[in-house]
Amino acid sequence: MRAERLTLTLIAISLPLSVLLSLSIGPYRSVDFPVVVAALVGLPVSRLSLDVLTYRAVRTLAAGVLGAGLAVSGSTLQFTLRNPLADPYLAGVASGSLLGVTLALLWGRASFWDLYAAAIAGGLLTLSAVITISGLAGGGAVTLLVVGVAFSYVLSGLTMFFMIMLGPRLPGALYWMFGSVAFMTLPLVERTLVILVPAAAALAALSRPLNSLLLGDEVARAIGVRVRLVRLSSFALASLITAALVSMAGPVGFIGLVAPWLAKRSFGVRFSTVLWASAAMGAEIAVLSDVIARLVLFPSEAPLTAVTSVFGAPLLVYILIKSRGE
Amino acid sequence: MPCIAAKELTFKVKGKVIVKDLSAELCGGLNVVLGPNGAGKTTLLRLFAGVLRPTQGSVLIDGAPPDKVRARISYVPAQLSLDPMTRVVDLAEAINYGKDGSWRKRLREYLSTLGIEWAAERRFSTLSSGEQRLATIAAALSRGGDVIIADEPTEFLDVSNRAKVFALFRGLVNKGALVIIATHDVRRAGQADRVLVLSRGVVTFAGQPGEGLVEALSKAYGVDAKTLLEA
Amino acid sequence: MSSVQRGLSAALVVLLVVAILLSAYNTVQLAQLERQVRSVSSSVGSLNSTIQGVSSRVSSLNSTIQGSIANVNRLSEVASALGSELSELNATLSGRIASLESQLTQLESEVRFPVTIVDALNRTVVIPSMPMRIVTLDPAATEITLAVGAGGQLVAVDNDSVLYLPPPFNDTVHEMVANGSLKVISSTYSSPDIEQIMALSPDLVIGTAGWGYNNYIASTLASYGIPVLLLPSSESLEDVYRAVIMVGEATGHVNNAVKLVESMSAQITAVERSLENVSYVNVTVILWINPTYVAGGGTFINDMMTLAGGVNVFQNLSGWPVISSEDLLQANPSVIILVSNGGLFNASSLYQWLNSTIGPAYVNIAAIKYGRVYVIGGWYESVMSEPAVLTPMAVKLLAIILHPQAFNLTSVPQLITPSTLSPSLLTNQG
Repeated sequence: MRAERLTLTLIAISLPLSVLLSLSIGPYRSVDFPVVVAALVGLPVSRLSLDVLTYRAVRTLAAGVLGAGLAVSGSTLQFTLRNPLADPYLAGVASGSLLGVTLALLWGRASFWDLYAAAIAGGLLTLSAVITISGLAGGGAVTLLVVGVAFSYVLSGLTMFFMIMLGPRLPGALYWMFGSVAFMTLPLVERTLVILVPAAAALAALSRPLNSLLLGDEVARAIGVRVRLVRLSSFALASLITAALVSMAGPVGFIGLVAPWLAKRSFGVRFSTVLWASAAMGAEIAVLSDVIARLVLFPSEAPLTAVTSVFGAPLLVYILIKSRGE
Repeated sequence: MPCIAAKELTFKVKGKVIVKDLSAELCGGLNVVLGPNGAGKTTLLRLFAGVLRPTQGSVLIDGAPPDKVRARISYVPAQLSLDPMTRVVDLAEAINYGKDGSWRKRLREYLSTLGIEWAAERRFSTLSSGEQRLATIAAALSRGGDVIIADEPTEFLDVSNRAKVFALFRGLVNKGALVIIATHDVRRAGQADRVLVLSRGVVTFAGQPGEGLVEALSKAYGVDAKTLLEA
Repeated sequence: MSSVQRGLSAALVVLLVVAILLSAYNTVQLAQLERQVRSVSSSVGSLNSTIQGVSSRVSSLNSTIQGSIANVNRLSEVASALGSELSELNATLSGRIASLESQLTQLESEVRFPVTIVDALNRTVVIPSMPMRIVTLDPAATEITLAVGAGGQLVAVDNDSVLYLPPPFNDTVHEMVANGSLKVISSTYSSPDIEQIMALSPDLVIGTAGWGYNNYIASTLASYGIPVLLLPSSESLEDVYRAVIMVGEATGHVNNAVKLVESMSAQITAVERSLENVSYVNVTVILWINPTYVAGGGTFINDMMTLAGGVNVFQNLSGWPVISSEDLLQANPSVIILVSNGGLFNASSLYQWLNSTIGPAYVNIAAIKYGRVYVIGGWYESVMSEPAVLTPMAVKLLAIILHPQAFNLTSVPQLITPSTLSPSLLTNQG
């Protein structure tokens, strides 16, 4: 109980702090912490400062949504596939989105919304294919895992093949490979939330049966859980969330893997708790990672996924070691 | 007193027959299923618990198939591979799907009876294999059913813990539950109200422990069972 | 009224005031002269009455009168000299007024804001008034903006523009950066920075669609109300013309833009005239070696090759395909043009790659057999690869390489840089 309360307090304090930090950091140094406070309090600030602050605020919001969504997706997949190393990209959705974008670029489509649509289409098609094929082969946890990973590799391979043909249009595709919140706009975040919120709500509704999947398929079936239905629908919802997030900001790794672990460590293996706890932690990790991404190569930006990987991997190892030791 | 009745129960997997034309009726009491590896004990228990559907024949609990009386069945599986961060309460909560919150009290009672009341909030990975088994039993029992089906409940347990577990089961039987246990612990046969010996999917002995049991066991295991029972 | 118009009106007023003052001054001078003349006339009159009183003083009076008449003559000379100065001033003033008037009419014809343009990605861009704080995102955009005469309205260019523009544009940019009138933002190809651009408070941002992160920069900045114009990512000469006109409209220099397009197309026509009777030559342009990228069909370079009297042996492949040595051997171009990539490649890099993959058979490729392998270096590279205002130069360069005789040259050096092949050759008509 003490660990839980401590964790809750930590989150409650650090999340707003991270947000403030994120608003205060950026290449336009005139907008710094005092300016942020002034703006929040309602004192008049210059038009330009307001614009820059808005830009940073949208970016921070997007990072938070990204982190929370990835955590929700990762938690769901870890529960539904009974695999503590599951991450949001298992269903091959990110590879599908990237392939969609690459093909769209080759076809001459270049505006951001066109590519966004292509990313979503690619992700959804991949998801449907994975679920259909897995369903035909039994729909078990291992099947989903294997089919998803297979699609991941096949689609990545195809994408590389097509990317070579892009020539100087390549950087446009790179954005969808590295992940970034530098080009976020409010309409984009809103569109993503339209998919995210209902999906997360549906997952929350599935909490109890999803939670019981941890007993193993047989025992779960014995106590009345409709295992196949719960597994396929939660897999689909989680991957849908991933597809929406990848289309918004590109693939960002590790958050979906680490945040559920952190949540489980403090709150135990209970889906309804892990769902929101990992979301809060994921949001925080993402916001802080974006801050770091803007600081390490100041005033340039490092790719977001580079930061999350470099810091995420040791963090995961640390968690693993610590939990073994106890 | 709940009764479980198997009628011409057959289970096949990919053409291989695991349980063959099995008929038996168990009403209340502490029932022990014995038999060598591969005899079909686990499958039989799964069929009783409604985890598996029979290929032919039927299983009825007081006239109803198991999936209609889920709330009454507490199934303790032989193995569980869990996420390392799972706590005992988490397992119990998961098992109590579809039930109200009264399981928390029951969990603490059973944990206490088994001597591990401190383990409630602990992670499974921090418990020894014996403690894990005890915790699993307590969690499964917290479901509060009157039909208890346990597969190898005493695995990993030392002698005193085994005795505790059996005492617990005996207590439940005294309160009117039906307990069916599959085990390799042949010596416990003496404490059972009824023994079933399974050999290659067929019941070779069904009845109270006594002389016939020793013969059946010897045949099933291929060794002189008397020495096993006396050890 | 924008600050520009206010400034111009003020300048006009000042000029008019100066003109008025000058005329006033001259009027005053005239009035003074008039007064002087009048006083002299009255002196003459009084002398006359004195003469009538004394006849003996006639001769002395005569000489005095002569003297006075001489004075009057001198004075009238001075008067006429002043008069001619006045008419000169008049002429100058009228000249100035006339030129101001013509500038006014020119401005009137150019200033047609607000302007609505549909850009290369079908985005509707609205520019409310003449932009004075323009930021360009890539070298092509910078080049076009400078070429239509909007250089004075630029506040920042991207880093690649500082590094990769051909003359005379690079000199202009360097000068402006040096005297502080132009800021440099980080490259939008490798390290795009939204905040940096926002901090400049631009009223127009111009970039080439699809270049680096431009498309994403555009969508982000647009949501803050900053007009971003994305130019067609040139795949043909028509795209360049479109881009020039777009920039002209957007920056208030439509006439210049039109003139530029006309001049560019005239240069191309001149090249085509010179190539009237030549037969087409099989050619390939190699952009990188191992993996070996060539310009395929549907690319800008392909267009230029056709205009220069060449046939792209790889036009059936689209985009920038990777080819193998066998492909090159089979395609058998008569001319090979290699882009040196800043001195990274030369002819022997090509031969080495060919030799290591298909062995000595490579000498059978027509271009190699007849010694028609050319390497393009120096700023000619950017002119070749960045389709923009200097494209007619690139077309002429290609034409000269492919058909030197049509331009009265006997041969062309193997390494073609601004020092081995004079740029003046490329700008002369015909």
